[in-house]
Amino acid sequence: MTTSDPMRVTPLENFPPQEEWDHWEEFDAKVWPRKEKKAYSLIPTICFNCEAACGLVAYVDKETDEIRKIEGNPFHPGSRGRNCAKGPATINQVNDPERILYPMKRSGPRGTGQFERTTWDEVLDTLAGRIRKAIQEKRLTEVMYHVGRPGADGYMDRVLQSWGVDGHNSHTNVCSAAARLGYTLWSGHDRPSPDYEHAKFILLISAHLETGHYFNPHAQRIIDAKSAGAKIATVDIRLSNTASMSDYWLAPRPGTEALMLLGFVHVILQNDLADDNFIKTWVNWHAWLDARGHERDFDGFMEELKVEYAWATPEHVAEVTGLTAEQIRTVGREIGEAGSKFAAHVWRNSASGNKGGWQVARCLQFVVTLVGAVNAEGGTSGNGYNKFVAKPFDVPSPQAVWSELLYPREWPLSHHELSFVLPHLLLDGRGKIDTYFTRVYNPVWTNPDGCVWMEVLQDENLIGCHAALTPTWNETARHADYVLPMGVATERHDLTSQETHAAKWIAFRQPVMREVMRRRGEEVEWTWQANPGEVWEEDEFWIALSWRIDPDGELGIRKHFESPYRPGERVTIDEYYRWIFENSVPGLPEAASKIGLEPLEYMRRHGAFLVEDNVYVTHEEPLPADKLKDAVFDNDRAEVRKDGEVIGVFADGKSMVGFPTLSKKLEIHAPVMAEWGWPEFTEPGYIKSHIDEAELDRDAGEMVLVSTFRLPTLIHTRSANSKWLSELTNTNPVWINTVDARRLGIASGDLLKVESRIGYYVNKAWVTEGIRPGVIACSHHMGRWRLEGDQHSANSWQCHGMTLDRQGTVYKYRRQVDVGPFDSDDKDSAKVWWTEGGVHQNFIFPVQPDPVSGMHCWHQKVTVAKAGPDDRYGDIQVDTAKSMDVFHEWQRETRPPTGSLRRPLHFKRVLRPTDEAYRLEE
Amino acid sequence: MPYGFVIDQTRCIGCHACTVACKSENDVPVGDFRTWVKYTEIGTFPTVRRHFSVLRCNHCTNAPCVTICPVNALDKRSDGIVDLDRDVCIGCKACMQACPYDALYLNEETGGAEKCHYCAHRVDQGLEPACVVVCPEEAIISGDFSDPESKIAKLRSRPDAVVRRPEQGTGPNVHYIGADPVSLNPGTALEPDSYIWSERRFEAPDYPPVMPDGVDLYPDATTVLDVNHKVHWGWKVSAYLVTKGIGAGAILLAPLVGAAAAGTNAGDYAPEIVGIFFLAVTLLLLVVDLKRPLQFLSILLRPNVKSWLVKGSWVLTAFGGAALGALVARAMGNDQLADILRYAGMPLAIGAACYTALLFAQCEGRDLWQNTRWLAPHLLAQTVFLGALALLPFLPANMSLAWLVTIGGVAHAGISLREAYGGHETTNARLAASLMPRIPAWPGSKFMAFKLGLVITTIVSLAAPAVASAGWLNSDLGWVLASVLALSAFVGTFFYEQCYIRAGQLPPLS
Repeated sequence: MTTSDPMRVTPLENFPPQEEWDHWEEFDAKVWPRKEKKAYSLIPTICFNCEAACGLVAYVDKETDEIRKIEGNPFHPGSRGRNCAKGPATINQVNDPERILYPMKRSGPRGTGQFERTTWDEVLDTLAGRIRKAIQEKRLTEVMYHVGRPGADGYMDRVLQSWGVDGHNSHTNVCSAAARLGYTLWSGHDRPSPDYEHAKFILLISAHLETGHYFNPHAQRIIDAKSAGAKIATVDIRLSNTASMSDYWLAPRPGTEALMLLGFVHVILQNDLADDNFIKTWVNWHAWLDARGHERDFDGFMEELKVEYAWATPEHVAEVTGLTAEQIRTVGREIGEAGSKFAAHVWRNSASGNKGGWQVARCLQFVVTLVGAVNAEGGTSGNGYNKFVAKPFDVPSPQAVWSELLYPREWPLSHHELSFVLPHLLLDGRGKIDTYFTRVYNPVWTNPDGCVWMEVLQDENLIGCHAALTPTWNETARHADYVLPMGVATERHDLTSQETHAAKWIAFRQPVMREVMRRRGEEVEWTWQANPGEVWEEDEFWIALSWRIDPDGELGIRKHFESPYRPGERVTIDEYYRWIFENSVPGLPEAASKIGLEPLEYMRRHGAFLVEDNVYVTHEEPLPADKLKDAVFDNDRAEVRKDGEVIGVFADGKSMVGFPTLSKKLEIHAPVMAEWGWPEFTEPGYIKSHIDEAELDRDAGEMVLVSTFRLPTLIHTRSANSKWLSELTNTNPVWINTVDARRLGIASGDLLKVESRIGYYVNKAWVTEGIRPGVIACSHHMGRWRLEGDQHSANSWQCHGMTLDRQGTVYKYRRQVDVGPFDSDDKDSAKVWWTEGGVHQNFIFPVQPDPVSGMHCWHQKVTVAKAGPDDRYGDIQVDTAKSMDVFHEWQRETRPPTGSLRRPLHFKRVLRPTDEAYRLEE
Repeated sequence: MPYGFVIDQTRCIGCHACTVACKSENDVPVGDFRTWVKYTEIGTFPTVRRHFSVLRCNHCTNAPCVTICPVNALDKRSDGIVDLDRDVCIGCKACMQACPYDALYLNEETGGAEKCHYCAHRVDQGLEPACVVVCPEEAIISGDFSDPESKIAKLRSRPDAVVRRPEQGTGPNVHYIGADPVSLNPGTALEPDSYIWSERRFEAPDYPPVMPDGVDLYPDATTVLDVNHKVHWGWKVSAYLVTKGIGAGAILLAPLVGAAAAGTNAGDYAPEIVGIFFLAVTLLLLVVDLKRPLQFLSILLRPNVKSWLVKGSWVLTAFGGAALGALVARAMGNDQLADILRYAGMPLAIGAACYTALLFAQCEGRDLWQNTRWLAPHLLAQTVFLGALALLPFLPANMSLAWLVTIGGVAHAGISLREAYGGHETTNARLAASLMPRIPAWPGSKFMAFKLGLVITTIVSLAAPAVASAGWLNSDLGWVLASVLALSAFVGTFFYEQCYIRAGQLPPLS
């Protein structure tokens, strides 16, 4: 089969013909040019390295049952058979010579790195016993599941709600939460889904040609658009690969990005490039005027809007942002001229870096809305329109409790859980945890304030039991009671969907060896029996655990895990997905039967299914007739109302569903902000960041550290087990502009001391033109460590050995053993030529929760100096006493609710509890 | 049906998917690459940009690696793919000198060379190369150039399509669209000590702070991510040049010595014994330098007659045969045959000395060595110098030998200076020449090999006639003094070859 490229006239094909996937013979590259063939089963699955969920196909050697290699899956609508470096590198993770193959139990004090092998029976019994007891004693907020990379849609919601606990925690507040708030305020969708492929102008406040959700699928479509003549502008403080491929690289002063966007708004309005027709119907401009007490028509609104943003002239914006007025004018005008074909995205970047970063997303969506690009072809949709989450066979009722550790009341508008201040909340006595699961999550390393995490994870009074579910060893697993090995991409089931383009698809991850055995006719009860060692998959782990929590059904849990096909029996993982594919995915049963397959078999063989293509202008869908009964149609306000609530949009005699906001319009004016204590933020605006120029004492050597940028070849903290990725990427020097380097007398390779409020690290300098002067940047991902004396070696491709000298609250780390060749079953481990592995920088960051969105504001104000004579590469020092001070300072800026609710009822919440649980207890 | 690649750098995002997919498909060891991505940054803030270039074998129409491979392990297939037979390769690393693109590496585990072979094992089954399939941007286009309707043929015919180092005349079949010239022209960007997110595998080349004339270094261009390549030929090759020179020189001067000391052991036997001994050492060095020494006979058993490694081995065989024949004939008392073989040995000695110039001329990757016009006479001068010195201990009083030392030595010094400072035609050669005086005599040494070598050989070449005419060599211990002179000259010449061989391999090719 070939790709869709019409210009391709070559005798060569991309992939083996699908009818031969069951038995495919090909020449063995290892002995070429000897023409020896080997036979493989080609099993589709999906990548588990970033969240994009690109398609993979594993080549399983029929003779040895080993995976020979991993390619792309041409049937996957998002990735279209292609991958980034991390896809084929999955084989390294499968064959990692140091991977954990058996469940491990702590054998020394917690956090001392001593473990012994245990059995899954013991693990399941212990954890089930604890959880059962907590449920029986109504301690329903003391069981917590904390996830880094979900890799699936909604599976855990069902499990946790069947237990009745409020215990879902995520990583989102160190990631995308700020932008989610900005998007939600406009449209009710918390993420964008740009239709890059058909865009004329693309604005990226992101690095989508190298990272981010969803790198590979998005990068394909961005470049297709570029080749078709689209222009690209990228906003980034440092020169990313994405910026390099763009027509415009805009590197404003960090924290001023929202202002830059308002500059575009100004240019669009002043040049009359806004899409008046779109705005008139789809924006809640009435509310905007109402708030001002102005009774005017639409033209009056547009006039006033011009005046409202008249101050954001290109000249003024240029002065504050450090960009040129010309840049603001040119890019603003090009966006306006692209009109509805304007695709834009903010992913992490300034939204995640700054206090008030959520306004960056809001201002960006302002621009998208002004030019009428919302849900348009070549424009920017809401994620909900391009993602398909299939319902499982059983959905338990929502829990009736609310955990203050997840959604503390002082952040009522937070998007997602206040995950990264969990230890701070625990230390402040806001609750405790009986049983804590970390799952593909490494907060000790990834989150700010890792030393506080370690302190809390070591305190058995705060966390009774900690089980780390992880495909690879990590710094957090080191602090667990149980380390439970879970499968990598080729060793597990998951069902996922992502908003990669203007379509909806699902993709099916499956354990490839289990599938090979099934096709051979071998019975496999549990996936671990087909996996290496005793590596489980989570889906089955949760079924097995839930069954043991409630073996006789007394707690009402068991019934949620009984087979929809065999009443009273425990559901198997095959039955779970079979039911979904037979009942919840429109079009799939028909597509399967067309080629004579059951839906489950179809997914096993194709790995993905396109549910709907070319999804545009969904907001114009007609309101269902049953809803129109007794409705009021308001021509003036373009609304359909019923029982005092707006249920749709009315225009040109049509009743349409509109957007999932209270007004069903795109909300330029969001009353919810005033209602929840932030009247100054009811409209898109620019909030001065905590690292605003005025906050910096330049004379004292203060600079802004941008610490979040990712690289195309690594995956947060889960790629240190890949040799091929590690050899390409093995150091994270501090980027510093030549101007600043001259001032400090620094050359590339010299040591810099970077000091935050709570500590410092010592790293090498990378003197470059590729960063704005006055700002330094250091890539996240690297500096993986183990402590000398730890029993297990792991991640040796990137991991260095450190010693810890702890004096009270002061932690001093020093690098003792560099990365280097090591003994293992993999002959390549003797060939490791790199030595550094980078410096772990997140340790020195205090938590900085945004008072509105609750997002950690990643940018750090730091002092930068040449390292002293006693400083060594990789030194880290942290004082956790100072950590709590900083947390409390930021906490004081919040505005807790004054009403009776913890959170607006219409705001999304992960694992949404009953409405009753939203009420604040007296 | 010539296959090739077009690499569309207007679409490439530098993601390294191709790099990793290739490693996976072809089981490429850690540290080695068949394809990789180089990042180059050009400009100053805020107009600086990063440029990517995907680098790999060019599947050249006139592939120099195929020409030089002594055992036909490399093969230009009828479909244009340059393939490599891992079982046949003897690990001589000549292909790595011949390739002007750094496309080959040595698999330390197997001892064989490896390179991009266009996934020939896939192509023969109708499948595209792994890098093409994985590329998220369809920026790597494979296909058949001869089909004018194919995408690849259309792209190649674009006026902005370029190849790497066209001046090498290799006919590369990887064409680039939208690549920045700096990223395709090695050596024109600054080389940092470490990269943007990777360390360097090998130290940055020690370029002079001021580039030599004609090397266009872009002062605002920096290579920020790259793969480093090993220097493959080291002291064994330098030593081979010296020992071969000694052996060839002894045979070349044999008639002269014979005429001066007929009837003595020195006149009758010394040249052949010296010649054969140093030839043996030479062959030993060559075999030991093979990564698969046990397969050295393949050079004779499955020869590629175009390779000067093969022709050179024939010359050395004939040369050794003549010398051995002369020795045996002399011992058997057949002076007439011995003298005929001795005279026949003279042209063979010149051949043995100078064929290396033709071998080095086949090293398309080493422009410094391709200066045949000077390399051939240089080798001859060294041969006279070294041969005369090797024979001097046997005939200490022979002024002709002493003067030949001077003539050879001075010519060697003159040509050495010319190589280092006399200018070269290509950028690559100029850069190499500029590095010659900067190679340490041994690792970590303050002494530079070039200067040290030149001083030693010049002292010896001037001292030889002086001490000879002063009669010092006539004393009982004269042979000791002569031996000291000879050994010093061997070491001095070795130093020169060290810097010549190493510097020649230092300029970046990719």
